[in-house]
Amino acid sequence: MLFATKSGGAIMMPVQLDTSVLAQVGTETDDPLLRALERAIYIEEVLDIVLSDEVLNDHALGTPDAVATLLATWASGQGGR
Amino acid sequence: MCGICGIVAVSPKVESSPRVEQLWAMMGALRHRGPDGSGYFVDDHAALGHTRLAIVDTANGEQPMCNEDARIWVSYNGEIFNHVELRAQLRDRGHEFRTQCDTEVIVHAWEEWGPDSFNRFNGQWAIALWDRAAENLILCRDRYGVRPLYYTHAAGRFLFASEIKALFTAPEVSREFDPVGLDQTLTFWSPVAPRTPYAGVSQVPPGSFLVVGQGSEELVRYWTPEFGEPDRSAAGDLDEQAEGVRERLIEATRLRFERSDVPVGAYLSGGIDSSVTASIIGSLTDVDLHTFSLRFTDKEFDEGSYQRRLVDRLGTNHREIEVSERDIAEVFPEVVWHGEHPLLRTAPAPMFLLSRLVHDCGYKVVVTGEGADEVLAGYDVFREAKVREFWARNPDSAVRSRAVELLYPWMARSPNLAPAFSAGFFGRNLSLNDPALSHRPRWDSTAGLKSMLAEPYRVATPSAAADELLATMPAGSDRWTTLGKAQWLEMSTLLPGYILASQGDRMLMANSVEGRFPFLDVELGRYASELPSQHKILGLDEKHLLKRGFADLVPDEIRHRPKQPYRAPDAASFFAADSPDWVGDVTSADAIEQSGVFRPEIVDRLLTKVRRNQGRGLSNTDNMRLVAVLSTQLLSGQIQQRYDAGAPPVPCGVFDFRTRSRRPS
Repeated sequence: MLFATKSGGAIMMPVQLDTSVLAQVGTETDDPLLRALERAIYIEEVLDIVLSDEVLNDHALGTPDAVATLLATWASGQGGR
Repeated sequence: MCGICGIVAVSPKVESSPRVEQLWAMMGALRHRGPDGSGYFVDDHAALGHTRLAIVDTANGEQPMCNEDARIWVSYNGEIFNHVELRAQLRDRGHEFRTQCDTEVIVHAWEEWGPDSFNRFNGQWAIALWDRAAENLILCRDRYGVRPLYYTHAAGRFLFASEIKALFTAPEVSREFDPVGLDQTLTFWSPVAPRTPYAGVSQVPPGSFLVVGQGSEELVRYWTPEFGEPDRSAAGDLDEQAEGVRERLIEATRLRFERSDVPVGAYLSGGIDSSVTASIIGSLTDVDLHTFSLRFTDKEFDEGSYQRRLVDRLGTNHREIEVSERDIAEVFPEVVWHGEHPLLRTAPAPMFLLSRLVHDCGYKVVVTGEGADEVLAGYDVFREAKVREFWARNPDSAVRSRAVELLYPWMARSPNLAPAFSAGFFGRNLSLNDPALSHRPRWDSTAGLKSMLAEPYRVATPSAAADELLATMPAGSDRWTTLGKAQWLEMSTLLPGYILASQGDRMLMANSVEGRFPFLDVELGRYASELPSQHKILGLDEKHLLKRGFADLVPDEIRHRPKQPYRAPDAASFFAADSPDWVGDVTSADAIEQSGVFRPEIVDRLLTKVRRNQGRGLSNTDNMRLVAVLSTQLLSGQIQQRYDAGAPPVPCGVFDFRTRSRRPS
């Protein structure tokens, strides 16, 4: 499981995430994990989702492209519940 | 900016007609708020007093002032910045004006619109309106509580004033501390209106007006901060929102610089808020801008390099004052006298010295950056709220707690300490349903402060202060974002009670200087409250839209510098080898016992610890405990003794509106 809704209900894509804005988040830290966590804070606020520990890392959230891939996975129903 | 006071007879059963001698004493206690003149109105039921700091239409504008038929009288402290526009509207409706003062706009606005007037005002005010026909007194405070307004009852009379010391000139008024007010102060740094630190003395809450009639009092809230529900589908464009903040702040700053008949200066702290307002004036106008800054001899607190960078860039006529620990100790009794509230920090003391510099330079008005952190989300507690919310969404997560390290750089540098601290402090009571998710760790950690209180001043329920405050949150606030709730809490506690009062109005007015606050402009506030939380703090970048909107005016070094909350040396100021005598006097065993506020054995242990290293190396809590003891002990002596020494000085230039003649003092 990569995501869950806060309410635990069915997952719907509420809005598009602006990856150009996301790229501006977490730029003050050099620590890859901390940067991923700050981006996770933003993503969860915008999309109203809860990310699992599995994706709270630099690999999944380190770049806007990686996040876009992750969200595409989610949107296609492969990673959600 | 001025001082106001008054007396209204509210009991038909006793002889309670207002006494002019009492009014004069109250006005005398407010002389520092209005050294340029004074006046009073009196009839059989009410008396209104006024001490004036002349800023708008300085040649006219004596108060109290009345409408065309002398039915409505006003005594007013503040500025209505949109008075020019309101005057035009009122003229169109047939009202006649004798002056160019904003004061006169108030009486005609009341005639025309009644209480809805307050919704139309853009400014900072404490207003007393006496309606002779209705025999009603209306007391009103501005939305954010910039200007103070206190009241009490004594011997069948209702008394009000800009400062509590004016109420204490009436011998019938009790001068006892209120246990709940003290408990709130030790929790939130200030009492929550309508409470004050004193039993029997209340304050008109921000955004409210009080109607006082014969045997009746009605408190009406005309405004409260409101925040939207999360609306992710309409988050909007970051650049457009930054531009929206910019436009409104430029207009708010322009109003506050232009609407004055005396020169207006600007504070420059070195942080982004005052840098923005000074840059707006310095870069977008051709005025000869005078700026004023605070320096510290202790480099830990000094922001001089940032101030100098902006001064050089703007080419302002700049003055600064350097404050030492000794300076703070020397002025602290006077600071407490003017502040009237127990303090947990010494930070007001340097602000007192800064306003004295402004006064000595011949300035009466300064624009400052207060309010930016509350309106545009700049405080650390807001960032903490985001991290706690993130953590609370999955408290069992193995990695979410690490987000705490994003808050403070020292945590990332202390890998052994950070997990324990974050779990112990930020990880407590993680509940998404808690309306105080943001503030709970801080409130819960005040037990050490409250444990100092002696039995008569201890509140039975430790969470009483928080419970009482949360019960007043507006209907529908449960749907606000966590940031919105946190902003409301700040705007209901620290902003009006400490930032704008103990550290703001009192420290400015002690030296007859008016502060103006562009970030508390009504239009900016309205716009900012509707901005999405995720943009106000982008990730964990606080005040992001402000930084983004003024990228061209404020240097990157200032926009992107780590946030440095304004602080001053605390305990170390009082326990150096050359500390002033008053420190020993107010902390002696006899003094502690006499005031009865604190447990002697606890204070004794605290003082032993503080003296061991001359006040250095103390924990945050111990620093606050010490300043709380010193300030409360000073207050205890001041309120009991100072008024017994004699009546305050009689104001000069009293104008008696009963005879329509000017009377000498």
